[in-house]
Amino acid sequence: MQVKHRENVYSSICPGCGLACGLYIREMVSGTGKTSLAVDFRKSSPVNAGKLCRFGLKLPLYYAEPQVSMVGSQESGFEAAVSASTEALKNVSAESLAFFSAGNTTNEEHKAFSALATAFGAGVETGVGVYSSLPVSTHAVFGQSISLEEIENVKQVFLFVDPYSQYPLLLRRVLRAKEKGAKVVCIGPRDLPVADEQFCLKPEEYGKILSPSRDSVLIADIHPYSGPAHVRAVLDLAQASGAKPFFLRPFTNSAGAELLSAHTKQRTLEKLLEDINSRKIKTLFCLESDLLELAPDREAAVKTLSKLDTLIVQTSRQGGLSGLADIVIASEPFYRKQGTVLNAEGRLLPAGGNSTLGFDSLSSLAAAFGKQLDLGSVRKELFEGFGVKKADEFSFRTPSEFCSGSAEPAEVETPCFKCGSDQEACSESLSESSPEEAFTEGFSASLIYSLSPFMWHGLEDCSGFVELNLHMVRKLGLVKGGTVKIRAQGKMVEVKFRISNIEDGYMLSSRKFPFEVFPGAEVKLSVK
Amino acid sequence: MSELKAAADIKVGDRLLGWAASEDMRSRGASGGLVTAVLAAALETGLVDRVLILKKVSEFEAYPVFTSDVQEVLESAGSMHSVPVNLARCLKPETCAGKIALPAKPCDARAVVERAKRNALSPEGTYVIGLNCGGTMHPEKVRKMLETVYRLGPEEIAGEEIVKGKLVFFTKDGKEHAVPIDDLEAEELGRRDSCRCCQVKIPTNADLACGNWGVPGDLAGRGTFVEVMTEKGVNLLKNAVNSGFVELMQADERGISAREKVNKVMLGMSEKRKAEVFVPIEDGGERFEYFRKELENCIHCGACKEVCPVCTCGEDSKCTFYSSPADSYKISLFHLVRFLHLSDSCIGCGQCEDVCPAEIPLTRLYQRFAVPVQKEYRYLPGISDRTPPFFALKPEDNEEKEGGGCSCR
Repeated sequence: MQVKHRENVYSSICPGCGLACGLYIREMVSGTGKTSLAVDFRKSSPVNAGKLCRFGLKLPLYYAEPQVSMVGSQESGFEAAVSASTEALKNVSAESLAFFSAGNTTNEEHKAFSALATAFGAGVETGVGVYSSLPVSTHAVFGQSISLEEIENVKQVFLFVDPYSQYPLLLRRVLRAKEKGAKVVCIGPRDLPVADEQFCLKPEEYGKILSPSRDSVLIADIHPYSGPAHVRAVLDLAQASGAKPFFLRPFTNSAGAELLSAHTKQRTLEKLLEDINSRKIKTLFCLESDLLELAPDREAAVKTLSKLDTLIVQTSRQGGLSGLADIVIASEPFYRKQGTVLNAEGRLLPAGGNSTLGFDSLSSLAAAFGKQLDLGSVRKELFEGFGVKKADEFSFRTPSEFCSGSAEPAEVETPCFKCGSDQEACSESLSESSPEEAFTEGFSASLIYSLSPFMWHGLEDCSGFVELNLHMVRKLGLVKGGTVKIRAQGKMVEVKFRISNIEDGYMLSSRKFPFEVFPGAEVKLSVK
Repeated sequence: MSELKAAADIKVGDRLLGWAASEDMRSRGASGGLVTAVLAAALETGLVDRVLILKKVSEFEAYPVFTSDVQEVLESAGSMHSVPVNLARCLKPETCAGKIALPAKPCDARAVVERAKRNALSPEGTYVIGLNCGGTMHPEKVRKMLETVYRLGPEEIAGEEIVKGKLVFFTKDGKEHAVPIDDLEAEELGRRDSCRCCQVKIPTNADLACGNWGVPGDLAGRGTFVEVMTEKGVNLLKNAVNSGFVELMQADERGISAREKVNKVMLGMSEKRKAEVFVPIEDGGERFEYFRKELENCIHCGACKEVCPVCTCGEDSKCTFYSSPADSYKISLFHLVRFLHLSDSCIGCGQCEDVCPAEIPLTRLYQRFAVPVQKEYRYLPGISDRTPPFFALKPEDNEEKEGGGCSCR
């Protein structure tokens, strides 16, 4: 009998967001060596009990296009790419060099990457510039997590995120809390079915309108687009009320990466791109993070990144960024990595694999610049730093000096958001106009991206539409099955729409538009 | 004790007691290791090419794999009530080359039958060794039970078994910890909701129906009651006896009636639970509101379709073709299409509910649609190879046919 394929099953976690849901990746290798993947449910996982969101189920697509090592535009071996990177780094000035990793890989790789950056007197940037605009004394709060199970037992849940689209595996915990009698207060433009109360508030209104108690949890998130006013307002509300803040993150190891990069001055994504554009940064090394997927306007980011003298990318997935890179070091897919991630709860989880290819590349690069490190000692240091004995789904990090107030103060830098408003902020941008005016002039709305895992990871989803409320649809004279025109910065896109229960003056989108604006910016709407 | 049964004498309809001949297999497997020994013998002798098993990671975790390695089969032995996986989902045209054997709870066996009707597998090449099942438990609930009721840590557990209505955990220190399942279920712990409503406890739709119900006291824990349901079942047992893996003897009348009695009690409990859960909603408006409310948290992940063991549609499916996230309907078209599509095939296995990230009680919703249809057509899916009613020409054609197995009308 001819067995058609052989299978390798990895007990892994989802790279889709900072919750790090447990799952199985089933790798099927055909007789010809062709590999295909399937996802299976790991019901014993304490994070998600085997449940997965749409992104988790589409992981075979996420892993579909593995990267090959490249030097110049030529395919090369792994070793050749590492050597070429060493040579390239020898010839750059430390001041014009930046290291970027958003938190989409293991702690071990991030640590090795940091060691390499340290050799140049730099740190690893995560793109979460908001940290640098908040007082150092507040940083420790981001490292204090609570378990998802604890959320089920609070008296009030204040949701500053949309669990339905952004962090779907949070939803069941909130529903369970509600079932046990908790009140659920949602803050944002979309009316959520889980909400007992719904508010659309500006950050400065949080303290005036919301009244959490000590047995409440404030669930927000922190990411490359986070605005300081919103984050600060959530922190202030937590401090004033004694409620527990719980910050979610968009990448599987965002929490670990942030702790490991706690001493690094963080630029916002926009500042990073601006510094590349102005040639302040001439060489960029990106680890498992595609800046094109993260940038608000891909087209503009391509132009900016092409100004770099050298772009080095270490990645397991093919993407637009590796297409622009001078050197690509191809690493193993996430599920094959040996290493750990720290999820939003503070669980130190094994990634599930046994390959150290990505780590080996970074450690040999670090060694070339005088920083020797081996996996065993890196792990030991990590475990000690995180206050855990081993990577285990059931043990939690003990917050310690990794991100305590003893950290060197990060330089405070004001992010330069063009729109000047936070993603979560509510603006009065809807101009009153008659339907006739709408046809000719259109009116403004705040564009809010849903910031789902699909958006962060640049993966296609069935989201070719925007969401408007019925009032706005009527005002614009839109008809069922029709499209709406969206204009900003002299560009125009035309998309389908759906009617949702959202606040007036807002337009929600699950996919990015080619505007060089950050979420929350105003766009002009009109009908064809 | 009666004499050992000769292989040549085994026939369809036999009710036997059996055990693994090897001490090693007896100690590894539950109830004398008969099922493990039958699977191992089938592989060893080439009766089948591969076996589909649950590869054990811990007492609470296992994943399905195909194997042709007898050692892997031996390592998979034992009860796994805390791993509620439906193996039939793995049986696909692309994975089912050659002859395959699998152990199957009643819901696995029912899904195998339904998949065979939809050409997802070859019924001739699939040997189904049925296992009696009183129910399985979600590992998340098991951990909670251990913590709050048994006061045990998961790491202390060496094994578990359901014995005489009690859930027994064996700890590594050699002790037994038993709590009546009724008490656990009163606390919303214990078995999965779908198992509490299950209509088939003895998989007589498999090739063999095996379990510990009806095993006399002197063989308790050391023997398996097995009923031979098909010629394939005869071949499996003959092969296991001839190759020296299994010993069998005739079951006595006391054992046969004890097994029936347990089955009747279990089915009675299910009927009671169903009456509690499926209270009819007569008013159309209320019924709509019930479904709308239950489905309002759906995030359209598609996990329920992905995990469904009777859905063989793959990418080409009506539920996804005729619904879109861009829809603004009050109720999900995806689910409405699925309700209709599965109304003649939903076996109520609960896999959809297990994996739903919004914790929607999907099995109840699907069963609310399916059960009236299945009653109307006197058709219980997964029991026989009878054509599903929607494929029949007229409803009355079904009236005449045997094998529906549903006596609810």
